[in-house]
Amino acid sequence: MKHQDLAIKFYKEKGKKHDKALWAIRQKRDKAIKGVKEWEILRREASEIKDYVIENLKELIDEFIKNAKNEGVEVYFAKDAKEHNEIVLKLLKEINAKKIVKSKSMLTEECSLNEFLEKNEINVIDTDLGERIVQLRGEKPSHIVLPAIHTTKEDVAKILNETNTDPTYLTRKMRALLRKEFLSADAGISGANFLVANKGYAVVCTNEGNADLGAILPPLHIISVGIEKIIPNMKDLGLFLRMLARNATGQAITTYSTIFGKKDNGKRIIILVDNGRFERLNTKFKETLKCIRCSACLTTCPVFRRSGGHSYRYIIPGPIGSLLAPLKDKNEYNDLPFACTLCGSCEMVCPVKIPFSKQLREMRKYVTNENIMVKIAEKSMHSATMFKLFSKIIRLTPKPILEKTLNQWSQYRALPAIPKERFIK
Amino acid sequence: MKNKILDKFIENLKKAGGEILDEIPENWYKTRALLGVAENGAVWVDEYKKKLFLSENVAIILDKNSIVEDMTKAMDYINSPGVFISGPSKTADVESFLVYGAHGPIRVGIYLI
Repeated sequence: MKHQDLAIKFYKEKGKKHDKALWAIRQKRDKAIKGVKEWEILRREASEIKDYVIENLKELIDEFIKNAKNEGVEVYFAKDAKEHNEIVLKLLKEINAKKIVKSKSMLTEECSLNEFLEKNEINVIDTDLGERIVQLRGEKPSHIVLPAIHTTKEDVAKILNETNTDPTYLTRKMRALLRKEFLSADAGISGANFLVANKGYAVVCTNEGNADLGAILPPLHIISVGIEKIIPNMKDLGLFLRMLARNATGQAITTYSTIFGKKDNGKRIIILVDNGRFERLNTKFKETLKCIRCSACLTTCPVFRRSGGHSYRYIIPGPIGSLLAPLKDKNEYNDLPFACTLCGSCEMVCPVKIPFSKQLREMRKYVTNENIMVKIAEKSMHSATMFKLFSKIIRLTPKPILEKTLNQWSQYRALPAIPKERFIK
Repeated sequence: MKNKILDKFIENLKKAGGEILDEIPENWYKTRALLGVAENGAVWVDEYKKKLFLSENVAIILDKNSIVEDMTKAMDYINSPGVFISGPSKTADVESFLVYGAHGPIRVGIYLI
């Protein structure tokens, strides 16, 4: 099913509640950034830092690897998802790991690491409460910061076989269950929000403390991270830590912002993953590499709020997902750039100023450049004869057929009456 | 000026679910912070220990004179791995209800000296 059908289904079931919950977060965000008078200056600086990063990515990666090794951290480079998963498996096999605790990482989702490890008989426990909820439900996260935003407390009670639906009770229950897993895991895997090039540090931000438990309890901690997460220095880190949580959930900062260097009681390994990122540098969509995954564009999007993350079918949904998904599979996700009203709200909230409106229009061209109907339409715009011919065909087609075949949107909207007179003679 | 920064730190610490301790309860895990940040109530702890996350209650000792205005200024003093902590661990993953004590401490108190 494509976005439109899945969106209609979701909206009927859960749309209003979902919309309301996300709009409340957007309002919290607005309040948080009003508390920072220099917010627009921070955005400009953040955008400039990220422009610098994508123009100097290769050099920054080399600098990061050198400094991380000096710090006492092992670093691997994986060119794609397959290579990443194989490195992880090799590292886990070396210590004969049977169970790993994983903290939120969109990159491991991008690489389908869970499925790969399960196939190789390694038990993967997602530890972020929201991610654990969706894992137990056999689903994928529907939002990159609020993975279980599409579920209710009754849904959570059900997967735990509980009749009590009190959120504090359910949270405590999950805490107790997962604490046992943390204490008996052979390794921890997490993502990273930032990599500091001139220090070789990886920085992870969470509210729950799960990444920290996963990093400190087992003897092995693997950090899987996309290469675009590199920033030049600690000063830049300060800037991004001011912005990330405020823009994501309206908190002034996440509960934990951990700067990881060498691991005291074991081994820490960082796997830098390309998986198409270097290639994207040479496309019109290179600015998507500026993204810090704050999720504000999802939360604010009027289409996302009403259609839910799963309607996008890609691991990163919402406006940023509509740019990333077609780059992975142009045909499968050719509907996503159209799941958009071009209202520009995503662009207004983006902390690194990704030009969403321009990029989404460009993506519409990219996914339709082989579409025969679009080609015909384009041709007809360049020739008066063709234009007249097509306009005649359209005029002669009965309205119900026109509505049904030419425009999915008209399922819920009436096509305006076609004027008797043409403006072209 | 100093007092204004301290007030802001306390206000934001409380917003993050943290508390100010008049004395350190006996059975709480104790550690010290090198720095506090007024704009978000976070403290910088470089003693990265298991008990900092496994304990239900954590007390962090902080020198009143070591509070800076914001994260950008905090970075001038940071030259090692460690962790910024802002209040107790928390989650809103069960239907957007905020609950303190997700995986880490349920209570985090700052003891000012």
